[in-house]
Amino acid sequence: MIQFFKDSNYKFVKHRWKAISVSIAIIVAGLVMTVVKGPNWSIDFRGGLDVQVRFAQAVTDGQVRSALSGLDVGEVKTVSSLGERDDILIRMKDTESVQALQDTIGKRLTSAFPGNAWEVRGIEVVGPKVGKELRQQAMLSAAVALVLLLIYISWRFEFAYAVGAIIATLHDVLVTWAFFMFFGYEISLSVLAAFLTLIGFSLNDTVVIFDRIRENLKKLRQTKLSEIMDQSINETLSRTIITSLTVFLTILVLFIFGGPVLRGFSFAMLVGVVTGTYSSIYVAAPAVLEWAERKALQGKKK
Amino acid sequence: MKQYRFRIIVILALIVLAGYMLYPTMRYEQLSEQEDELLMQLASTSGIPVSRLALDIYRDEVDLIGEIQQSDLPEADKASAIEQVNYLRGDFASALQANRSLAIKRGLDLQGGMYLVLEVDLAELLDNSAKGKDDQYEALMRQVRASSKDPDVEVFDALEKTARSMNISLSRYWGEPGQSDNDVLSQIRSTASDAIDRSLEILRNRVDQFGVSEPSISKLGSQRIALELPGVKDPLRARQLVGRTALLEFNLLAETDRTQQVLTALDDAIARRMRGDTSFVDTTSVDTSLADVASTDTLAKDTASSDTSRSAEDLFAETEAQTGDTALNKENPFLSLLVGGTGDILVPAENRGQVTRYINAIENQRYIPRDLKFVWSARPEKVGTDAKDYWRLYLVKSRAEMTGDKLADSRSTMGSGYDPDQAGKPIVQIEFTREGGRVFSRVTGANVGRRLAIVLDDKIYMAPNLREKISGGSAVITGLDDVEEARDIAIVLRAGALPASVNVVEERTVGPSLGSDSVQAGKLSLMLSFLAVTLFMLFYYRMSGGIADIAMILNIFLLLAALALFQFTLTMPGIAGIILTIGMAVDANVLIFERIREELRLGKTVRAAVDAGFERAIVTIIDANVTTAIAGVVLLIYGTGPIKGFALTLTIGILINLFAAIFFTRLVYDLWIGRRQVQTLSI
Repeated sequence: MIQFFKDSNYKFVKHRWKAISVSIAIIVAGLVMTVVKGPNWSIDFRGGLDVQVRFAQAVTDGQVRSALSGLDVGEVKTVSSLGERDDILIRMKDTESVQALQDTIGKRLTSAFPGNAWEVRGIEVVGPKVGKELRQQAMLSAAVALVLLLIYISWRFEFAYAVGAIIATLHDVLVTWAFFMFFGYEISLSVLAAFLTLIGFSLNDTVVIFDRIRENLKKLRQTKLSEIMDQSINETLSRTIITSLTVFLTILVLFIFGGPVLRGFSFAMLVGVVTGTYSSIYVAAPAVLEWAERKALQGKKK
Repeated sequence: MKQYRFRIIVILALIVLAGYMLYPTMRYEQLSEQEDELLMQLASTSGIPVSRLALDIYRDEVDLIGEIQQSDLPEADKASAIEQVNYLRGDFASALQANRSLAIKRGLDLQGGMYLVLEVDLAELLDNSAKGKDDQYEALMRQVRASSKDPDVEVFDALEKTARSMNISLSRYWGEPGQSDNDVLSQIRSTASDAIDRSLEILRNRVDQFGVSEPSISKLGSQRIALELPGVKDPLRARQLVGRTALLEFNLLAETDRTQQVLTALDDAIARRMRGDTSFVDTTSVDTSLADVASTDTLAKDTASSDTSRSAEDLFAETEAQTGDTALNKENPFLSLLVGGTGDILVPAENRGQVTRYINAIENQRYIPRDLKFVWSARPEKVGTDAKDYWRLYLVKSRAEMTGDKLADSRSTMGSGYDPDQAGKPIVQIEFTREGGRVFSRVTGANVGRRLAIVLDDKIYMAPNLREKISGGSAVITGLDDVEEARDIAIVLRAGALPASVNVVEERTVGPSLGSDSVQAGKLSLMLSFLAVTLFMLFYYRMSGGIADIAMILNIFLLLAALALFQFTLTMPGIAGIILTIGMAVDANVLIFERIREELRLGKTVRAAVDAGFERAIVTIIDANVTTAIAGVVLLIYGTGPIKGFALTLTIGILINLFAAIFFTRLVYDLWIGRRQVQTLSI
């Protein structure tokens, strides 16, 4: 029988503060970057016009930029798709008259690159109103998901556990956000979907550990809560790691081979799976412990 | 064995059902591959490019056979090409169609196509239904338009607020005199809702005639319409077709001397203002606090300054230096931009932006009588020997003599005959209804010697001189770019005009090549992650891992069958959902296996360990999956477009996952250990 972590007995709870300071450092760095640099919103949220063009013979983004000079072009960059020729992404803010914009871009490209045929691979236009609405809707769905999950966990366990789970989830979201800031990845609708999924995924791990704690609490009435937690985490460690590993593997494949459409999405999931696993061990249970101990202290004072 | 019979039957039945559901998908994949091959073949025999064939082969209106017959191919090639066309259009098309309608639907991102959200211009709708317009009305509407640019402000709320702040009773322009504002508003709202429903119908008509297979058109909120047009290969054209109001009007041109008067008056006014002489300007009726008044005002004085309210068309008119010398410009700032021509006002292309700005400037509007309006020609043309492009500018009566609602039919053809405007050029023939024919003959009869402009969406296609009364009940539109344009105009005229213009507020177009790249990437990722997880499980849990792998295969199989059964659409994020399901599919089994291992370590017998393992793991499995499912369902409810596809496969995946782990894996274990006394378990 192959087994990782056979009879492991790590003292997770004891080291929680070290882990939490690392988390806080990452989160703070991410938030500072958010304020300083600002998030790289995709067209879904900022509105505008994105045109993806592929040339028969490869050109550089610099050549395209100079061909379009003088036009109100926001950004020209190459989008790489693995193993394929690169496409050029032309990005504009103005959505007032898509038609005119596109016509003009088309004319410029044709005259600037004679003999080099180009095709429009994709166009995305999002009006400013729509962008704002999509943003609001995304926020709303995240909030709804969190509230529902809070209710479910309070119902299945206790409120303290729900709080622990939510803290762990927020931690995951903030850490993943921080990584998006560090790497400058674009935040699109599908990235937000990934965020919501990782909320579910991170809770999945957490719930498995909580389940074990609940079970051990019944079995070992005399043992200290912190010890029960350590034992429970260790008992489920093998499962936690294996599941995270299989999910990580599949997401990694998606990140590498899934094409540019899913790159942001799978990046979010990659970071999310790692932090989700980490937080269910180091953040969720310790948060419950902290909460429970404070309550006990308050009870004594009274 | 007997005790398991029921469960075995359920599983087998499910597998058979899933296979049955997925058969058309497989078949369709084969057929479309075959179709590609056949099209390539046909392209090489007939010499017609594949891209055009792909577009036209299934459209009956396109006379491909005629085209092949007229070509200069050898007879044998002709015959075989025609046979191929007939085959592709006949049996083959129906087989393809039959399987497609049952196959898993591919999202636009996978097959290529266009997703459009159109917003009906409610302010324009208001404007169209208003009566007794005056300066106060114009000021009101300007304010309403300006404030409804804010995403959070609805047009009707803006109207209510503005009217109240300006102390205007709405019944003055809409509804019956003396009606309360609330009544008028609710009346306007219901008219608007009707108008949007009507727009929906008209758009459906246009799209159907455009030849898109399986379009989807739906209302989105109170003023938006979402269109999904799969397989559209020419997004520019599709957008033009859909976005066009298609309001056809017949307007008389203003009399020549009146036109001269208006032009001169405009010129004078602008010249005086440029000299800084503002004494004559009557500011009482114009609300100068409005932002756009201010911006156009500065513009009139300083044309070089950047204009925040410019349209993109002006923006890209590539305005170079103004023509004419500056002295003349000062003297006749407006007239110097125009060129008198063959009776029409000609405007060199580079002056068009400036002329438009002068005409639209609010302080100049008073010099254009209310019963007249300026309209541009549909396109620039080369006039005379000069190589330059000129636009024609017309001054026409604001009130149309007749509109396109009296059309019975319209179709595009090639013009023939002696008329140089028509011969060999694409034209659109329109047939009037009987009443329309009567009105048209009366209008033309009463105005012999004058010019009647044919205006489509505020662009003049032609303005012929009426030489005689036209009583045939039909007319012709000329001056079109190409056959495609003629076709599209015929379509929009047949389908009717939209009650108000629409703006594209969201568009996502995926080219067919990007779509098929995505499919490739999706398939590859799916296979690789499947392989990785399968091998890992076999390695780690050996025989039991193999069971989990079979459960996972069953899982994916059922998931795909569910997509086909419920006709859900598979998108790229949907594929991501399936891949994620693969990763998570083994989770339930991992939980069970780990438990069984623990129980075995405690010294239990195999049978007891398996029983205990399943029993204890199930609670955990349910708790763990419900949390992911909650996230999935929320995404499903609130998510839009691509996100919905992801949430869908994820949620279905989780449900099937539960079934596979609890029901299927359990059964396999029971069959495995149930009969004999197993001493060790491969886990």
